[in-house]
Amino acid sequence: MAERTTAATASSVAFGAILGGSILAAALAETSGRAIVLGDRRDAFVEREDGRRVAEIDAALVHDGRATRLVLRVSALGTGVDALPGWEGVPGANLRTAEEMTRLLEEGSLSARLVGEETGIRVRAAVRVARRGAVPMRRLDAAGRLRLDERTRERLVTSIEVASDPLPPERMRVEVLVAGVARLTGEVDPRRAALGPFRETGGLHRDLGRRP
Amino acid sequence: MSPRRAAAVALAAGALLVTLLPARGEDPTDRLPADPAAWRRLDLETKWSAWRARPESTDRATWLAFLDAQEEDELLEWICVAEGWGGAGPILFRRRAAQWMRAAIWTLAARDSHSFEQAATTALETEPGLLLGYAARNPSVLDDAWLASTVERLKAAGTEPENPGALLPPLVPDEVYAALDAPESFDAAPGPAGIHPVERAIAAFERSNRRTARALRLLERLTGHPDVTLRTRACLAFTHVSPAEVPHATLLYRVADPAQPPAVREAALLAFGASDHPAIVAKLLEIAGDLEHPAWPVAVVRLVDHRDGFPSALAAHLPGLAANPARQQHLAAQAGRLRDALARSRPDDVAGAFAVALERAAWLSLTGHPLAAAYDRWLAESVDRFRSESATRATFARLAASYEPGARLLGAPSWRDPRRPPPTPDDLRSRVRSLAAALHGP
Repeated sequence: MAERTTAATASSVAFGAILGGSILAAALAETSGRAIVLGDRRDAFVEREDGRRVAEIDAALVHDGRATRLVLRVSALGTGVDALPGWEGVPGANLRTAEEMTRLLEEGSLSARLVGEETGIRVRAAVRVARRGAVPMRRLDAAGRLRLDERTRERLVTSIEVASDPLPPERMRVEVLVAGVARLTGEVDPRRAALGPFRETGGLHRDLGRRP
Repeated sequence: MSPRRAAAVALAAGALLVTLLPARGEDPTDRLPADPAAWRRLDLETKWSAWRARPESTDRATWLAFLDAQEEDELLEWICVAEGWGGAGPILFRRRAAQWMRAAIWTLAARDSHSFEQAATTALETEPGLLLGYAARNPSVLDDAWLASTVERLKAAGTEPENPGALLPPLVPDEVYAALDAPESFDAAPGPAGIHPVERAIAAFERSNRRTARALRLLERLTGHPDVTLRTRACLAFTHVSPAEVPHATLLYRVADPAQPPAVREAALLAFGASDHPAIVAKLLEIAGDLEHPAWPVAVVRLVDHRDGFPSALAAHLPGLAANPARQQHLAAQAGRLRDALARSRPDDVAGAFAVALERAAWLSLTGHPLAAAYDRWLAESVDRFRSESATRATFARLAASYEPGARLLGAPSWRDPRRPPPTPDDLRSRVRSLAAALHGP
């Protein structure tokens, strides 16, 4: 498996634009001139089954002048995202994750919530499409030649965004759920501008035991 | 298969579809076999080839519904094994076909975790009594860890086993992959003596973690089959296995063989270059430095797959590039991939990339690689741009003080370049530390 790194060869100008925070923070700055990123972090969504990183998770605590909210993006495209196994996959893009996110959003089975660890207060969070597009892949053409820079014909959901309502000043548990089962969890603490690690939490896999 | 034979097969499959599929509008239902009675008279292999040859625009679900209506359980099982549980598997399960249990159990070893999950949770777990009865009758299925733990759990919960009745016995890898033992030539028409069973076996192999030494051997032999399509597919199948299972020397022989068409050489290099071990990366760099090599585009792509930034500096080492617009365009596209990756990176990612690049640079120089000096220069220039980043500085300081070759570099490599023996761990340690110290700067 390729290492979770990226090559540092292109323009340092592009790099410098990102250094102040994550891509997510940059995107937020684009959409809201007044938003301040209090803290941010990036995690990998790791398949428990085989340790593959099937999505990238960017989380940020954002203050818009009135309130602090959590903004979380789960993306099938990203530097550290492992491709589907085999020749069709392109590192940095996971087609199956994009297909799954598309399906789950169409079904309406994705939801998110935050629960205060001290008071038990519940804060709502909306789940929406952050980005949609064709996903890189490789194909064999009709003549049997490899086509290395192809993309899916379908425009799939490549990134979803979870945006919370204003957060109270306490440590909170974050859950992204599929059909009511938590698949991704993490923690935030707006008082300290801290975000805990965000991880895959099993869900359907939880009781399935270890695969060969 | 010779091009003439390939054309004949394509023609035969095409002729078959012309008879079966009415050429009317674009409605996917129009593309269904026009005459169910004629369909039912076809042998299974011909039906399979019709399924595989369906136009890309054809709606898969509509076709599956047709196969469901025709009670094509055997064909649906083949689809399940070669293409995954989704689609065909749920139909088999809903119909409680004799194949459903063994198809679901086969899918437990799918490389695609969604196939596994669907088969486990939407089929097997919903029939606990049958699952217990089936496992009792076919204890070999308990080789699967999930199945074994599930059966234990069900027994502990007091689940009563049910009679599995007519459910077919488990699929056996060497039977599923039997067609990998392919003849030298095939019948042009779809059928049992055609090429399709071999292609299906390759697809099944790619989908599954149930690999056998025999299947790996047969697949390696197929990389030299007279049929170009099969050679290509067999090479590509090795992108699905672990580096230790890849026949690197055989694949590299195909890459280097001027008698092979470019399609085979490219496919062989894509499989050869799947690992990011420095010995493999060094070979990719060697081919990337030879603009005339038929597999050159794949070498560049694989380097970028391994997050190696050197391709962005490669143009300076390819004197003929300006006269080759196609390759120029390819290199620019791959440099674009690197830029995109960089734009999504965080400082820690970049520092980590430098650590890997440093190890590669040391490997190249210690093995006398022709691009070693160029790689060193590129690395130094790249580091210079990020010298002010604390993550970069910390990484180089750490490497200079305490770099140790990782376990995978100390063990026996899955491939060894006979012309460039790997460096000793001591040499590698010393070289990386001194390079890191030199690049760390004041």
